[in-house]
Amino acid sequence: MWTRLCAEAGLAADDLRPRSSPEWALAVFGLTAIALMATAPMDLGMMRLCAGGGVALAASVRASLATGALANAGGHWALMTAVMAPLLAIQPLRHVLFRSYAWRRGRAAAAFIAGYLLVWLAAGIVPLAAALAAAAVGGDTGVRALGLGLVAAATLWAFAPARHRAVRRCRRTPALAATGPRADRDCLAFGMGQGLECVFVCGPLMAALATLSHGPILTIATGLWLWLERGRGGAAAIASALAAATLGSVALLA
Amino acid sequence: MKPLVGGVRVRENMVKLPAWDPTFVWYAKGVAAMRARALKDPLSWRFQAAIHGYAKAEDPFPHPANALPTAAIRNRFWNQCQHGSWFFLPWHRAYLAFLEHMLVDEIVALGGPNQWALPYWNYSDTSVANPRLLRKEFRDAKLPDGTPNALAQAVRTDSPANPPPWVATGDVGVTPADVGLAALGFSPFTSPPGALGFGGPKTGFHHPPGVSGAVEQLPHNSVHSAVSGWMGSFNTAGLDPVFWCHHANIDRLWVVWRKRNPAFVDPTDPKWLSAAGVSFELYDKGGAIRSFTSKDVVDTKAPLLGYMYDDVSDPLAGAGLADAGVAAVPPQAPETVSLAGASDQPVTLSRGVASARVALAPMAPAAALGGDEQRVYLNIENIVGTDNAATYKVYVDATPAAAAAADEPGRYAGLLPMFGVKEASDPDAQHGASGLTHVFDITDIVGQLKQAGVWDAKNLHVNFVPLRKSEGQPDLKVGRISLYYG
Repeated sequence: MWTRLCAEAGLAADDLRPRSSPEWALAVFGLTAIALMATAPMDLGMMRLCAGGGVALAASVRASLATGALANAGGHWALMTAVMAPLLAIQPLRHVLFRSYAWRRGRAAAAFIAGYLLVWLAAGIVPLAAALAAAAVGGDTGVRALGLGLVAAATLWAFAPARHRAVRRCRRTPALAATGPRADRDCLAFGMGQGLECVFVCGPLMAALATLSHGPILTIATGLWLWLERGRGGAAAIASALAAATLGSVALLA
Repeated sequence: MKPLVGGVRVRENMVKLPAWDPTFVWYAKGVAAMRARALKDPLSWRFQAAIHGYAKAEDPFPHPANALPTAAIRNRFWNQCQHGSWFFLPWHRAYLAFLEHMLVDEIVALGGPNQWALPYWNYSDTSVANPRLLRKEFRDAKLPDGTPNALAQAVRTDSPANPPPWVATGDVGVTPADVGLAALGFSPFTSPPGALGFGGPKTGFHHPPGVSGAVEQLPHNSVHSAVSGWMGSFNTAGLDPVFWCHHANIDRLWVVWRKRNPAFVDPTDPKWLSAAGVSFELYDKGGAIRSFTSKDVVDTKAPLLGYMYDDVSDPLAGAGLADAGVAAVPPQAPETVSLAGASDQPVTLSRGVASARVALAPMAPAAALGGDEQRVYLNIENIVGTDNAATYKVYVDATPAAAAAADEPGRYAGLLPMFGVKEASDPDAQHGASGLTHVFDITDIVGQLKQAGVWDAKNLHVNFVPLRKSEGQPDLKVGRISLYYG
């Protein structure tokens, strides 16, 4: 039937075939990120931002730049985002693809993912800046103390009604224009909106993990928990708090 | 009131019962007894209604002495009704049956009969005059014995008059269009996104509305929108005794659907049947928590439920099919659908006719749309607003509404009731203000337009004609109108 339809429309069959299941592409993307995280020759996280404490912030930044620790920390944040994004973005991405014409799905998906990742990458500046400041004051101990504080903050944040409401907004499936610049704008805006809700929900926990240095297994475990939590439009606050405390504690003790 | 059949109670058609049949009298007494219980009592009328939905701002019985159940209890048991989901039918089946058991216990404690069963409101019954009017047993202030009638104690319609007109006339606004039975012709039970099945789309736990299956759309949503008042909101609907009779009829239509065609079967997907998907919890008549899945409720006569219907004959047998817009041979439903066309702009729905142009994409196979091998679906997407009582007739044509007949601008696609739009537009809802999406199968309409020689792929017009108008200006907006084919 597809071949006949395409012949009538004067098109190759692939142009009309439904392709709205992004699981394989996302799986490849996520697995690549995991492999990089596991094998990249970089010091993970923000623990190595400064060799010693009690220096001025500017000096701390210069030292971190010189040693490459700043670049490593930023790269680690990007990899954490890349590992978790497939799990957290799959539902909204499916929505984008389903609401798009078959021949525009790649473009629609690219706009959505660009918006989503842009927000997450920009959000990494906050924990990075905090870690630099902590390193300037107290070196490794200062950064570790910051991580402990972020774990506590993420645990308490789990009880916030605002967070629970944001988890529900992560499941939005808005109207999207079908063609033209409006379609590109809508997909980009949807991606950025999803990214913002995601940062609001997951940011404190992600910042804690990024600060404390850890491997891909903890990142995957965190991503799985956040995906499960989102599945029913939120979990009981106590469950979210326990998850944050457990994941953070593992990172602290690692 | 019929006797038990093999230990199973028999639900009867309330439009055919004699005046003040014991079914009504004991229903009223049972409701009154449940109403006398405290809000936090799981066996109370208000607690049971809150299981469907509860919002403190909409509670018609606020009182400082009201003690709400704990937050843990409310989070676990309230706001649980499944809508826009393949769990719509099984969840409501169990919900009704468990309440029926509670009512029977209250009735027996008052000296009433153990065989009492919830009556169903068959508003589509063409064998009686005026089946859509609400019977006097739901309107008279007093029972025959002079005690207050709990069945009449409900807010119905949005009339500001006191008493409202329906108390005297029984007319709660249900029109023939609201009670059509075209849903009985849809198969399969669930369908892919963008298409339309009988029972609803495949979802996980799904409390707020989203995309309804055919029977949920009509007559379920349309009757809710028509009666409005308490019935018009998820958060108060369960307080109205007529809600349970309405849902008993919807449940009965599920039985009718399965019986009318051997190809009409329930899903066999473990995600529907078992806890591999979702399991639900309700309090039983003893106050114990019972967990169940769809598999546990497919047989109404099973001990968990224990009821049957007095009449599950096919209302569409023979001549009834064409009148109901149902094909004699059920169409083959697609496994997947793809976007073929969409509107450019959102559409605002008002008190007058609204119209939108849907253009097929240049590369869509317009020549094949509406052919024997293909279904075409009109998706009215992301409807947001607060007017749950509004309802529109949807027409599809090749000409704009302004150029067509005022009352019939095109071919009739179906009814668009707005029940649930307020809940679906709430930013704090489970899907964060995504609104409602309704799907219509317009395959036959596309075929008719082509046969008439007026089909224009660049100029398909979708026209919305208000069936019910609100007192004020509706605030409804459609995000996008699209055509899917498969």
